[in-house]
Amino acid sequence: MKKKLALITALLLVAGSFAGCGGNSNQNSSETDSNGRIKIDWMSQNDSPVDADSPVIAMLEEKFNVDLNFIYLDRNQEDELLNIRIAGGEIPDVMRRSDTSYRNFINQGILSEIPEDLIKEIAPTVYECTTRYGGENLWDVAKEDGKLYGMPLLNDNGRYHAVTIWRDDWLSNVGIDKVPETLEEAEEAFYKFVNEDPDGNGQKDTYALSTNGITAVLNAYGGQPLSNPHKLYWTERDGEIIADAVLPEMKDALTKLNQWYQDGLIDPEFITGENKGQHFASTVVFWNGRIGFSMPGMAYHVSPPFIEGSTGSVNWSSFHQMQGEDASYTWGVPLTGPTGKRGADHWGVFAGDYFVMGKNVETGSDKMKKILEINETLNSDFDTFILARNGRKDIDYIDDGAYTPKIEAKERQALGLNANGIVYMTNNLEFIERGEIPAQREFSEKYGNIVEDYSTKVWGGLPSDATYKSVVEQSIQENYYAFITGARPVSEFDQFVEELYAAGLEQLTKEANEWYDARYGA
Amino acid sequence: MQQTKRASIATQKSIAHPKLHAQLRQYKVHKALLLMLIPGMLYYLLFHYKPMYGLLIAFKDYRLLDGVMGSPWAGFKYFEQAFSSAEFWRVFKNTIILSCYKLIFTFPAPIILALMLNEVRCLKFKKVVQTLTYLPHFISWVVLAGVIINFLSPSVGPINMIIRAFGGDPIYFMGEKKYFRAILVISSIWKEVGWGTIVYLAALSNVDTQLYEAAVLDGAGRLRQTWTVTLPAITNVIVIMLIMQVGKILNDDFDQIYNMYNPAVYSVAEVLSTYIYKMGLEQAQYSFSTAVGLFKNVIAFALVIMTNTISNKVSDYGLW
Amino acid sequence: MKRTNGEKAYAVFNYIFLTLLALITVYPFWQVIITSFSTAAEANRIGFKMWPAEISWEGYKNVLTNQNIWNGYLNTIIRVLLGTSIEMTLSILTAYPLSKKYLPHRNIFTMLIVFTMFFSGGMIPSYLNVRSLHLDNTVWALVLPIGINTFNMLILRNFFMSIPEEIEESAKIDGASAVQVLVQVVLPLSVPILMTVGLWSIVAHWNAWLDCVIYIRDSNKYVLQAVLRKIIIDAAPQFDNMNTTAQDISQIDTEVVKSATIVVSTLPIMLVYPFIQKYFVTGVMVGSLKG
Repeated sequence: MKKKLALITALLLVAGSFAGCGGNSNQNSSETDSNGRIKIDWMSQNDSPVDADSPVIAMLEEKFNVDLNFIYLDRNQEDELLNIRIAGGEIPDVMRRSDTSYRNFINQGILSEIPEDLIKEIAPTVYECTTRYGGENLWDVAKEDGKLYGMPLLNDNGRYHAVTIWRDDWLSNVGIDKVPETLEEAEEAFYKFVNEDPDGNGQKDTYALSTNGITAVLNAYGGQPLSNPHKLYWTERDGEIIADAVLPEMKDALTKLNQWYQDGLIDPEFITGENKGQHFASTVVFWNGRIGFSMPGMAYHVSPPFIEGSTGSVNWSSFHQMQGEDASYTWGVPLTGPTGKRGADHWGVFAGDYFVMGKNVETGSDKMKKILEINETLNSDFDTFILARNGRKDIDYIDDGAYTPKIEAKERQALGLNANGIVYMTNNLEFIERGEIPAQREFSEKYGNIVEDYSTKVWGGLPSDATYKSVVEQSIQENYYAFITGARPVSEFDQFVEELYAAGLEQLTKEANEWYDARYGA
Repeated sequence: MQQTKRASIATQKSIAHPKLHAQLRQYKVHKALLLMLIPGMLYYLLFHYKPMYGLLIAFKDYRLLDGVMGSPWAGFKYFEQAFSSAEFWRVFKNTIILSCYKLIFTFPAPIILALMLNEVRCLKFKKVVQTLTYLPHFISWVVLAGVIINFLSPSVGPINMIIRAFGGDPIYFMGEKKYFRAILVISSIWKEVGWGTIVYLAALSNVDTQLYEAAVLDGAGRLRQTWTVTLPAITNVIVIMLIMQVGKILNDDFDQIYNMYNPAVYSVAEVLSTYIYKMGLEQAQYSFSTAVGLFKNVIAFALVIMTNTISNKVSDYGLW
Repeated sequence: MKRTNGEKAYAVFNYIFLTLLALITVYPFWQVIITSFSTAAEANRIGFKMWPAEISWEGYKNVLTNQNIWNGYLNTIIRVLLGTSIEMTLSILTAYPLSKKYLPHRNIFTMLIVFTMFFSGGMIPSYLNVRSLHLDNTVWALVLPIGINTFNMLILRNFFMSIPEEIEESAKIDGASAVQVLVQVVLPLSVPILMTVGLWSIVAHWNAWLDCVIYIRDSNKYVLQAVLRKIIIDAAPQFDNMNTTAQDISQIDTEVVKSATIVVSTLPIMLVYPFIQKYFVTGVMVGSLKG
């Protein structure tokens, strides 16, 4: 037995001696290529790799006198793959990070500091646009211990809120000629959708709403408790930050929804999803003519075609493919609830994303200045922005005012084109507006800019997220669904709130308040 | 030179250690076998034991740039974090319950199917059934989950059509806790039973047909033949599969559950792997998930050693 | 051989049961085939269908016109051939000595091997290891780290153990070396299990994609499954790319493309099985035992 132990020990020692090696050898890639151009490892936000010999990228490289090396990481494994690469010492020079990841990377020493003054000096337009659209204190919000490690990225779509859609053909079939605007009006229409055979097929096979409709109803009561991807929404109430899910008015909302569920207004299969496992904004159930009301996403998720030859958004085209051209839907307003409140999900212009540089880009180095310069040009020179976003005129796009692509989406990806111009580069929202057809913007303004919004007041990662967040979010979803279906009586709502606080929401609320106070002042 | 030196040391030592000497002799006798073992052992050393230091991540505050060795020690912090959470024990329980169901129902399924196929005399039929039953193995859970949700749908699914045809009320199988575990077990049988049969069929092809003839002479019926000839012939494989299955008792099928569950069944469906995945989404929780993984595998390893010991005593078959 | 009534009844039951089982198990695959031939509208229609309403080749057109797919096939075939050869060689060489009860320290070797089934260093150390061996971005990164599947190897070992020692002894008396015994006596007797383990290895290599995504940087070295994953991602609605114009939206339905990729990737591997099946015939060993 002793012998065996000795042998095992020996083998383990051999194994152990290997352990030390294979650590982090920083890849000593030279800073410049053979032509003396600065090399930049740029983590792409595209869905597929950028061709090494993309002519568009070559034009940009020439313009900036740099060598751009795009790093593509499989979209569905991105964070994991990035961590593996970083552990191997390969830190991309340019990355986009969410707030949680941004703070985590700062603490791990992976990011390089980007002094605010340097941004003001080299990228004044970026600085100005960020402040103009994102708010005065956004730069302070981005700081960690007084130092700036990334530039907030703005999202034009975040300016608008989610849009409701109605089957207007159904509405007129049941004798309603005005798109409902209040919950009361909606309720009347909902009951008729179910009981008066709106599709005229002689069968009672229609419902009023499903998962997204439930969200719209909760919104009418004044909160945003269930939403992807930021499931945990925070509201400010009497100077305190509180989770939307525990707002007292949610109890009334759930009572109403439970009633509707019993009366057969809600598609009982809402639990397995309105999108049937597809993209979150795809309302497959609506396409199938099973429900007459939904709120699947933003204006561009539900928009009609704006110019000749276009098919419209996925929801528009799929709906018409399946229901024929005679069927129709129209756009509504966020419903006004019993207390007069109304609102809809709003991602916010700044949703916590940052443009960051890996620590191999030394603070103040030529490389950092070069990256800032590229960023500045894409925010201040419209032609370069269009080149990076839409490609070459008459080759990649048609000069029809809408920059209609001449090539397929996957070819554009390979060229390195991106909706925001080589990977998430523009905070100049005016450029984005100039780059699209006016009708599209008018549509977003008309239907997505109606009311006060529900955007979460806390988007950053909280210290105890890892311990509690998934448990709390899950409990909210599970219990809300149970209240709606009656699996749990709504009278237990207060008890549920207590459970939720005990399960960790108490700690998260405390931290959310600290987070908010630290950034926006008490 | 080297050789003789070592040999002389060996002889010197052998005076003091006669047992060692005997062992060295054994090594010499079986030199060919040991040489054969070298590539495999090198493989294990290089690709398994060399990166094994990664287990230390469980006891460290892992920082990507500092590497495993350079990261600061965290002691049992992550184990405590896991064990002190009520959620952890809830999902732990769910995992064990589900695994036990799978051990009881999923494990014997391919054996039974193999025995049934073995009874089929029409070779063409046998081959067609084999090929068809093994097909679902190639369909990922993402796709299969969609098919199953549709299949069980209360409004359009064929199962509920049948229920309605017989005058029953449709059942929303996917939305009710009491059905969910059964759905997981049945669908995993559905997906893997044909594929799992292959190894037993291979083992069955090893049965000496003379044994059947002898059994027939003894007047054994078909059932008896199955019991006295067929089953013993594959016991060896069954035992190995069983031991490995016991080792998997804490490993749940992430892809299956993640794609099939929904908020209505979270309380029974959340298992260790989906839990870790959700925790990991928030931030790079390498230390935490390594700790949970290590905990799981220590238990699994202990269980395997235990089962193996029992199996060796009872059946004379085992992993070692 | 005369059958009793009970046996006949059982046989009938057996045929009926197996037919039903085959129908049930083929159902999901049939659904995938139907969807792969569907138009986008048909694919999204909620309902139970046994037959496509109209046949559309759009899904296949999208998948098969992808320039990377043939390259992906080639890379996968190389990977499968190389990987399975390596795995079979290493597994046989390891399993055979371990199947001998008289091998010195056999239990320790086995324990050390079984240990690795439960404990591993995880993804990052494995990645660093492959990199330090300069295997990354080559096919070796896909075949060497999984050079032995321990489970398969143990199955093989147990099969070797079930071969009666006398057969080997007689060969040894004739003066055969250990290697000769293995190659000339043991392996021919083990064809069914070798085929089984071979099939496992082929299928595992055929289906693997995560290691490719981790280790391979050049997309022309991507294996089929990784290429297909990307095709599916490309076919997803493009509206997550902010600020796209309406024309950007892909007209190809994700569900159709997903189904077509499954058929495209599964068909070749399905053809392997019937070929292997013919080795699963009862009584392989009988002839050699008599001889």
